[in-house]
This record gives sequence, structure tokens and C-alpha cells, in this order.
Amino acid sequence: MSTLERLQQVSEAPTKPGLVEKKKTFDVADLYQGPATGVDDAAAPDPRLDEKLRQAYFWVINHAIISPYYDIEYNEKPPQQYTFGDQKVKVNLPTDQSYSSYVLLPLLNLAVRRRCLLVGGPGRGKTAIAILMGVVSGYSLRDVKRAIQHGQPQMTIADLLGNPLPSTMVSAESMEDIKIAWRKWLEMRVKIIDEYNRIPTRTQSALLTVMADNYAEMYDQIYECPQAAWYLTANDDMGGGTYQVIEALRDRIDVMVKALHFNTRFLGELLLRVEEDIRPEEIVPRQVIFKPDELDRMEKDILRVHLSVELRRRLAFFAGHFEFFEPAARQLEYMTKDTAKLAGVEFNHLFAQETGKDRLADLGGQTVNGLSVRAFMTALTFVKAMAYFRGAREVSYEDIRQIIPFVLHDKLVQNSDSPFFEQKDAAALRTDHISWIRNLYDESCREYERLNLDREDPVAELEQEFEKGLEGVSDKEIRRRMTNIERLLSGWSKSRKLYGHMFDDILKLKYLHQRYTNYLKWLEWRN
Amino acid sequence: MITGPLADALKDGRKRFNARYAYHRALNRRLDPDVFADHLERVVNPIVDAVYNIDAGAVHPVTEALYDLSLELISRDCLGKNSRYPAVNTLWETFLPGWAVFLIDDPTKFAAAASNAVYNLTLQNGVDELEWMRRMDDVAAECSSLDMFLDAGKIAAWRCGMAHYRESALNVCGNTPDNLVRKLLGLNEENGATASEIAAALRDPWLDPVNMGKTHQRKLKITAIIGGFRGFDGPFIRPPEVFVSNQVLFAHDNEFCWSIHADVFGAILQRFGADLPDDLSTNSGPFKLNKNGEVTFGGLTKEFAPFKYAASYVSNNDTMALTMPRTHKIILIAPA
Repeated sequence: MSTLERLQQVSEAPTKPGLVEKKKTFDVADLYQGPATGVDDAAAPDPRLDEKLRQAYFWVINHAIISPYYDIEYNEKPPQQYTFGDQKVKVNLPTDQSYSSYVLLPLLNLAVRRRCLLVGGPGRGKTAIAILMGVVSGYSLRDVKRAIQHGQPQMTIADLLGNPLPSTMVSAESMEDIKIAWRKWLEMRVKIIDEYNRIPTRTQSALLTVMADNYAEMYDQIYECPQAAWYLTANDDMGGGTYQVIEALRDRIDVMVKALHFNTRFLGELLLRVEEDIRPEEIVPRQVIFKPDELDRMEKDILRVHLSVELRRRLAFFAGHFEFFEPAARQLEYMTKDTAKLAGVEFNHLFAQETGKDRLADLGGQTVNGLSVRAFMTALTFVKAMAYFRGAREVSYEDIRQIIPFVLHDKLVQNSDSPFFEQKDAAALRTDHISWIRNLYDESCREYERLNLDREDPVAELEQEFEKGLEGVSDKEIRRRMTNIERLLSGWSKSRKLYGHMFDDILKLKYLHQRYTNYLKWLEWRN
Repeated sequence: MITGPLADALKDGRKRFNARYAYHRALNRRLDPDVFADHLERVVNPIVDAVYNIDAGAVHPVTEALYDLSLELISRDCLGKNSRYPAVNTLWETFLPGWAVFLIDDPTKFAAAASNAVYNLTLQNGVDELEWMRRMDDVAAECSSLDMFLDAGKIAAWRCGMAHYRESALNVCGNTPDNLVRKLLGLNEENGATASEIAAALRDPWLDPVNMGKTHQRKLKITAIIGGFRGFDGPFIRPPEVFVSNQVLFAHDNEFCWSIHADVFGAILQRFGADLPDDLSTNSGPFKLNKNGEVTFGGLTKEFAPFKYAASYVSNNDTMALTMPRTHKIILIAPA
């Protein structure tokens, strides 16, 4: 088989053995499925969309993008491990199907239709993967290429969104009379913004409206865009483009993927492509191209993936570390990094005031911000998408561990002055944010296990009690519950140190206590 | 030499067609330009002529579809002089010109579906793909739409021996015009049974449609012998053993498992996988075999003397499957 023939091969299902049930029934509609493509798919057996997504992944990874990296590692049994270099870097040989983030995350982004930032030096295939995602979502290569918005310093809002029709400009008596010739890319389900950090600030604001609220506005005219997967590219993630990226726009980016270097051992593969003049985006097999309704269905299926209470608590415990900032206020509710930031006070100045707490153990000290609601929503969506991609109907511990770093990469801002990074093995985590966030998650889980919260979580027990509802609960029972809350808070207050994970718990207990207080007052009034 | 409407259509889209050929040629170096040119001239040309005679406006879309499909199928050795499936060539050369009206309806869908159907029929031992094409040719004039033609094709495939499609083909019968179902199943024109009545009656797998409504004395008999040694083009590496699970008969040769499907129109083995299914049983079921080789079922008895040496036998509510110690074949016995 020639290299060129190989390029159109789609991995045979099942791409993840063990997931497919044995076929026990036969459908006569199968008669019309075979080597000739183009038969109406309605006659074909309904393929599992997660299988199709995996086939798309394996086609891209095997034939389109040379990305021989398995940085998203899964193991079903302990992997062989080797250490190299002065830093004793560990290289694992994964024992379960593992993935390249550079291909997987853009695909997951397509499946959940969020906003993905592809970062890396020039010529690393950022635009190529974005174009492939456009083709995989059913657009012709021509349409995808035409719809790419190339960031450049002279880009105006009209360049981005469209122009008012001159004839209506002349005859219009009010703004509503002006007709806008909206740019075609606005109607696309895949939107590609190349080098978004080269777009002038004013145009970035117009882009923000489209990205954040899914509509474009000009001359009081509104254009509602369809739900779309966004791909933005940038050579530099640290704001080193022509224009500083406005913070609100950066905040809208859901997941960040870094284009890794070209492995020179694969130069032969590259040479063959040059010699044969093969462009993968031109030969995407029909089997891995999604229809709009399939993308809709897939997103719904992903959101139905179950996240167990146990894992949700771990995730909440992890996120709880970061917002709390004791020196920022006198009242507990305001003891947040946001308070310090809004006051415009130098963060490290306040951080230096903290005393007595183990600054190496305090994970919150490694960041200068907490997590927003949007970051939580994105994290939950992407971990579900990861589980779905692996053919699971429930999120696993490893799904969260693998995906969280990519989702929080731009959301958690590192406090690189934290003493944590002064430690011998931690210096590299200042620059390797993926490993840093994964390390944060691992440390958080270790602490969670040390506190035995899977088995003994008094706040969760009180929460469960409350969630059963208050209807018919006697005042005696309410008082008992309130006493339990008070006793718990009393116990905690004896420990001198206050850490991030306790912050939300204390506030939750205060919330529960207040709800019970109000209910008790109402009961007393009624009686 | 390509002439007429095909030549004009190719000329109009010359650049585009050449680019498509170059693209497929780049993907598959075995795509022989002579084979492709011969196919266009000898096979596609008459089809396009037939389309032109019905609707000149359809020539361009049909040409585009057939050109692309030809490239695809020839690249995979499924069509053209070097095809591994001569029946697909027969379809294109002999039958597609006569079915031009369906090509006009949706050229890609129709040509691909018909080619795939013939390809799938070719893959099954004991199924006559030529009979399928003839049956379809017989009913083509009575099909008022492409979808009706394709539904008819499903019933015809079952009728030609694809017994594993039986259940879903019966469901298709219910939505197909009565006269079409009667014709596809070989019922004479005097038979006034509706498609639903026929489908209901044929729930009995061993009822020959021609005996519908007649008093027909059933006898236990060998209805099919299937399987065989892998060295002689059969599926089994060693003499298989038969099992039953949830009314489905299975055969296993210690390497692979096959499900057995049989009815009055044919018998077929379908590969099930390496493992045996769950809820497996070796109980003989409603068919009984005594030590003299006598098979009894539902008040019927028949002696098959050699069966007293049977290696394994099971049955479901309709059929008995039996294997012998020194053969790779499976014998099916049923009241037919």
C-alpha cells in the first residue's frame, strides 16, 4: 500500500475495543452499504457518534497532523516508567489508549462547540488543525478557507462583521432602514480567527460580542449567529501580539492547546507529503465528516454523561483552594483574591503579610486568582466530553486529571513568586503550566484523601440533610441540625489556620444555618 | 471513442474531471488510465445515452456521479476490467442503462446503492446475485420512485437467499405495494393476497409463498447443508459444534462463532465473533433425535439413519441444526 493510499484510511471500528456490543440483529438496509459511498446515510445503521469522533481523531493523528505525542496518558495497569536527565523527568509507557492533546482537544471543542485557543510558534500547524476541524464539521475546504478571519493591525469592525449597503445608507431615514451585508463567516458553525492577538483593540471588542453572546451588531442591526466551535490561533499566549488581547476576550477562551514541536524523526513522512503534493485537508474521508444534526446530537449526548457525586466533590475541593485570600479583608465573605484585585493592591505585598500558614502546602498561594463560574462550566463540559470520547457514560478520575490543565491553563493565573516554585523540582512548573495545574490537582486529591473526605465529609452530610427539603421538618429537628452546624464550626475554629478548602465549607455552613434560622422563625410565627 | 452526450459533458467539465482523476490517481497508483478510459467508453457511455433519451438535462449530474463512483470503485478493484466482482460489472453494463430513470432521480445514491447491493450479494455463498438483478429488472417498471425500488431490492435480496435479513425484510413488505411484493416473491397474478397478509403468513420461515392458502402436507426433510472446511472455501477450520441461544442457532469451531440463518429461500452463516454468545444451550430444543437417527417434531417423524452418529444437534422453534463427527458441514432439518 502506498503512502498516499494510507492517507485516506479510516481506523476500523471499534477504535476502542471492548466498547461495542456484539451485533445480534441484521438490518436489510445494510444491503446498500459497501465500497461505494454516497448512499443516503438514513439507510445506514446509526453509527455511534463517539466511535465516529474517535475515528476522526485517529484519521487526523495518523494521516493529517504529524503529532506523535501522547501527553494525555491513560493507564489500566501501572505503566513502565523511566527517568532521564538532571530533573529526573519521568517518561511513562501508557498501558491504555492515550492521546495527543493537540488533536484531541480541538476535536472535543468541536463536539461541545466552545472556544479553543491554539498557541505555538509559526509553522506548527495551528491553522491547519483549525481548517481540518472546519472540514470535519461538513464544510468544503473552500468555504472554510474563505471564512478564516486573519488578524491584522488594520482590521476594522466592518472587515470583521460586514458593511452597510450603500444604497440603503443613502435612502435610510432611520438606523433600522440600513441594511447590512453581514460577512459570511458569521453564519458558519466553525469559526476560525487566525492570529487573534494582531486584531486592534476596538475590533477585538466587536469580536467579543460575537464570541460571548453569539450575535453581531452594526448600526442597530443584529445578526444572530448559530452555535459554533471557535478556533483562535496565536503565536504567543502572553499577549505578545501586535495588540494586547483584552481580558474579557481572553476569558471567553475555554480551552488552550499548545502546538508541540516537530519531531525530526518524522521528517521522512513530511518529505513524502511534499513529494506527492498531498494536502490532508483536501482528502478528509467522508466517514469522519459530521453533519450538523450529528454535532447537535453529540453535544446533547456529552452533556448527559454522568459525573458522580464523589468526583464532583473532589473537583469542588480542588477549586476551593484558589479564591480564598485571608489578608484581603476582615469579613470572611470578602477574603478573596478578587477583593485584593479590585482594590488595586499589589498581590505579593498582601501575600507577604500572611504568617504561620504552611506556604508550601497552601495550594491557593500558587495562584493570584480564583476560578470563575464560566471556568467551572467549561471544566465540567470538557471532562464530560473526554469521558464521551473514550466511550464511557460516566466521567472517571483520570478524565478530570487529564483535561483540567488544558481548561484552566488561561484561567488560573500563576503566582510565580510563591515559595512553592523555589523548591528544587518545582522551578520548571513556572513555565510548564500544564504540568503545574496537573500537579495542583494531584496535590489537592492527596489532601482530599488525607482528610478522608470521601468517607467523612460532615458538610456533605449536612448538605444532604438540607436537600431533602424543609417541608414538615419539626422545630426540634431544625434545632438539632443547627446545633450540629455550630458544633462543627466550633471544632474548626479551634484550629488556628484557615485554608482555601475550608473557606467555602464555612460559608456553606453559614448559609445552611441561616436557612434553618429563617425556617425556624417562620415555624415559631406559624405556631 | 466516447461520443454523444457523455463526450459533451466531459468536455464541459474537462478541467474538473481531469483534476478528480489526478486526485484519485495520486491516492491510488493502481488506478489504470486505460482501464478507466475503457470503462467510460464501454460502460458509462451507454448509461449516459439512456439518461439523455429520458431527460437531457440530467446528463451532467449523472455524468458527474458516475464518473466519481467509477473512480472510487475502480480504485478498489470493484469495477472495471480488473474487478474482483464481475457481477458489479454486469450490473453497470447490463442493467443500469435500463434503470436510467432512477439514476436521474438521484444518480449517486442509486448507482452506489445498487453497486453495494450486488457487491454484498456476491460475498455470500449460495446467494445468486444475478437472480437479484433479474428480479429487480422485472419489477423496475412497477416502481414509481427510487425509494420504492430500493425497498423492493431489500425484499429481493431476502428472496435470493439472504436469510439473515428475513425479519427486517418482512417489515419492509408491510410498506411496499401488494403487487410488487407478490411479484418479488414469485406469487402468480391470480393470488390476491395483500402485502401484509403475505408478510404475516411468511412469519413461518418454511412456508413457500406459492403454497400460501393451500393445504400443503409438511414433511421433515433436510432443507439445507451449509458450511464446509476452510481449505475448500468454507468457514470452518475444524468440524463445528452447534448451540442455541435465544432461539438463534450458532456454530462454533473452537476459533470463531457463526450464527445460522435459514428459511425457505436459503441458508446462510454470519460471523458472530470469537466468543460464544451468552445464555448458550446445547439442549436439543423442540426437535428430538433418537439413537436410531429418527427426528421428531410437532407430530412429524422422519428417520435419517446416519444421524444416529451425530456429533451435536440443537433446534429452535422452526429448525434443527446437526453436525456429524467427520464433516465440516452443518445439516439443517425443518418441516418444509
